[in-house]
Amino acid sequence: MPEAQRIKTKVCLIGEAAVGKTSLIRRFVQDEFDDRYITTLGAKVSKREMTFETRDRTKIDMDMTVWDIMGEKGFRDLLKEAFFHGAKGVVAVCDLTRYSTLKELDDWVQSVFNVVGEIPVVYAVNKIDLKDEVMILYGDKEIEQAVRAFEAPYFYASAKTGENVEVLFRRLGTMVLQREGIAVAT
Amino acid sequence: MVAERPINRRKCAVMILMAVALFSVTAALAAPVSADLPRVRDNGDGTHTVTWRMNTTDGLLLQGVELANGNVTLPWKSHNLTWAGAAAFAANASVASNLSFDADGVSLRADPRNFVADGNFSTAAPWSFLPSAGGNVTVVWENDSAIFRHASPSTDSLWDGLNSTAGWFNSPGSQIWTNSTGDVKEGTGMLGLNFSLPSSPRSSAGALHAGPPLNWSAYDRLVLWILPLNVSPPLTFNIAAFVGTTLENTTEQLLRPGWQEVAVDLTEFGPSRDALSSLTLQVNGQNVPRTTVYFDDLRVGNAKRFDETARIQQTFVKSNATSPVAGSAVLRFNWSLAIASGVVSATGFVKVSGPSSSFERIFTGPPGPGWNGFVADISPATTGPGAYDVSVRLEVVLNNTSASSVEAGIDNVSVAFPDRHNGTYLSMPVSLGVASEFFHVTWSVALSGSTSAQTDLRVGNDSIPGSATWSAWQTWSGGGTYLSRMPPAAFVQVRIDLTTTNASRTAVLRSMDLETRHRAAQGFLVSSDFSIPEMDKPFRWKTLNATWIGSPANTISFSVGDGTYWQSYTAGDDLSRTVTTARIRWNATLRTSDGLAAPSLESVELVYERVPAPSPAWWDIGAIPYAPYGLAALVASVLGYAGYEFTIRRMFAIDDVFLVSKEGRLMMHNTRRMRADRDEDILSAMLTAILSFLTDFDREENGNLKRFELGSKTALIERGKNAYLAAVYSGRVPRWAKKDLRRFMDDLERRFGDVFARWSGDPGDLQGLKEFSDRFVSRLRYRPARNEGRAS
Repeated sequence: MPEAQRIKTKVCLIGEAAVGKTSLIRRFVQDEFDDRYITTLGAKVSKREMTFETRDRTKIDMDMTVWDIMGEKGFRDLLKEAFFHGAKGVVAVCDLTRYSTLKELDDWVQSVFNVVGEIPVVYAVNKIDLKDEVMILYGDKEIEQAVRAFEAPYFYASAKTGENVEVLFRRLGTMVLQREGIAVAT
Repeated sequence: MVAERPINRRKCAVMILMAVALFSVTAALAAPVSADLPRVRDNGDGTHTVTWRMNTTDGLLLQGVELANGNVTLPWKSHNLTWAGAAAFAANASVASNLSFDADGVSLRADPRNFVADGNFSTAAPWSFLPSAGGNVTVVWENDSAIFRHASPSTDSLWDGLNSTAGWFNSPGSQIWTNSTGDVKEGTGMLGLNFSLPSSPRSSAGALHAGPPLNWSAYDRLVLWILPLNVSPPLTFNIAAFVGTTLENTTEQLLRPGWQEVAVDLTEFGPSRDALSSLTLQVNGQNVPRTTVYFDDLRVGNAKRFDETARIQQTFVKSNATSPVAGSAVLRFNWSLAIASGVVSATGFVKVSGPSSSFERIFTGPPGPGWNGFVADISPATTGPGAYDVSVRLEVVLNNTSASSVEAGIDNVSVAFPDRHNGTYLSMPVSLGVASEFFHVTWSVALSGSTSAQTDLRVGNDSIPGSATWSAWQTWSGGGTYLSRMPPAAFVQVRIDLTTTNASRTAVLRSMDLETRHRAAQGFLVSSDFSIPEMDKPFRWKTLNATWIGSPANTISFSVGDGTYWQSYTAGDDLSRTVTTARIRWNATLRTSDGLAAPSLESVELVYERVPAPSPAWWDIGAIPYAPYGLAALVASVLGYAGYEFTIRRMFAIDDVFLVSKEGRLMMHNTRRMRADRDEDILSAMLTAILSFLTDFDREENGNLKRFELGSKTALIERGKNAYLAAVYSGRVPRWAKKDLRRFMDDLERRFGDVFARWSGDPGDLQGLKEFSDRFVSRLRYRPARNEGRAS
């Protein structure tokens, strides 16, 4: 019976203000601190434990600390090195109802890459639950163009319904492990 | 928070900024919240019970739950299992025999092959192009089609253009003249014959040619144009002439309105035509009022006569026997007849002949532009396997002297054997996620003659159809919306039987829509804040009691907090361990894994008790009955206090030691306590965030936070190359504690520095670290490691 392996990793949650980063993970993570830390300190850390399995059925227990970074660009420029340092993955969040938030993610991801180099990125297009209620001004074509440069997968997600939240974090976890040379079943 | 190094003004500003921010947060969290609910009951034994009843939403925040009959429960959620289009059926198929899935829907699969090779004539090779035996009708491959042609010039010559009446005489009772103003057919004029005919007997009028006998033995046709101004009553035309001494008449030909070319067969005058005299152009009738008939362009010559056929042909092989029922074999092609002039007829024939029988049909029509379609069922003639010839031919018949031209085309020849058979579809067991109730099912089915469709559903509670948990099939015929009477279940299986008695026809299943509903899996409600009145303080929270109905599959879990955090609460726990503040709120999370049932919460009660104020100390001088004893006790107390102060200054303890990587990942935590209060990973990361914030806030200052105090706790921080140490002390921290911590950090880096530098996040890489840290945590003074190897 192969032994279980544990790995600790740090991922950053980035994106413009009010795209729903904090809401997106609220039901997904183990939360210890108040959300107001994001506006006072600029970041709040929460944690999610996930289990993966390699092809030889070895279990990988991953402790993923999720750094929810404040969505103000000025703050990003001020504290990026502090908060992005050592990150192994990025969840880039945009708002389906605001095209500008997708375009801004390019700068956000580049900002992370400038600190830690190229690391796995997953795009989360949030608020998919509103697709029938408001006019949507962009879709697959624009998103695929945006993620192409980073070879990032993307998911339509909803903080309200929880749609695809688990999936995109598992995908990111898989990519982080693959970058460490650990191939896991998806 | 106190920094050990001198604080300059800039750093001071940072501290103030943070303090203001934290104060703001704290103030906001501590703001009192008014609450109309719940009700508070004095239990008469020093305790009070605060009760929320679920008969109103006032004071409660409901998220994904509903209020029903004085209870909070999970609502029903509608869910339609909809398969719109063939793709959905295909994606869920486990058996699909004789079926095709395309844009139109699910239908009986047809053999799509065209058994005719190159039926669209993209190449000529598969076809034989066979001209007529006499060579008058040709067929060639041209412009991706087969083209039949005939063309021949006229074979007659002008005998009399009738531009004048010279040599012509009228019959009795009629007049002749030359008309040069009308629509002449040849030259400058035409011959008019004005006449009337009595009612009885039938008689004739005519224009007689006088002169020497005519030698027309070299000709067999006389052709002329005739224009009758009135053909009512009917008029006929023929020629009369004396052959020797015998008057002979040719066959009368009925005249039509308008100009018409009339050919007279001169052979009717007999084989010897070298002396024809008194040739008369004769109009016959009865009771004809006065009218005029014009003649023009008299020609003689020899008729072109032939009946020839050209054809195209190829052979195809059919391997399987097919049904003789209509629709089992279909022949199609396009044909055109662009030109057909100067001919008796131009007729098309198509034929498919095989080992036992054949099919042949004529196709024809007036000449014109464009293509015509031909479709024929050839099922009875093509049942057996074997080689079949398909041929298309054009028969051209000529018997005249005028110029002739025929052009016909053939394209897109196909012989198809759709060969549809009855088909069956069976889906995989389709999971609905949870047990669900079923309502209406709607089938969209298109039927045509000779076809039928039977749709079936069955449901079960496991993924093995047919097991004991599965219902019997429920069956419907054709399309429509029906009330499903299936029992609640978590899986559905679909079966469809499409049948046909005509191999060319199929029923088409377009969609299925099954209405279901199940209970929402999760929802929660949060109470408003409740604060214990001042008059009931000091206090202690005792228990949380809830009245609810559930089962192992339907549960409710509770959390409590003071508004700034949530902590789970288990029934029977001492509530004071979780909440110590006067303000409290609770939340209840309802969950079900059974789609048909849900937990039901009726009420929540919080119990607190008022605790007595602290009693006077036992050494209170007023309480001492005898002064000498009291004085002695006082001295003893002073000495005891002095001893306590002396000891406490030397006594301190290390509560926690955190070793954290520079980016905030916890490498090691060693604590004297039984377990940590908070998640160590999150705590380490947040501490890193705060330290990073302070370091980054003013980059001109090359300094770091090294110490801070909080109540009775003091934290010292020492940084290494790739990690930092945070040690939390209780009691008064002596000056040498910082030096010990520095030495411990140095020893860690000597022993584990290489591991720290390339640490991937795997705690397994840090074996021995926890044991190594014991020497720091468990001893009063740290003893540096000696002669110990480095970890790899």
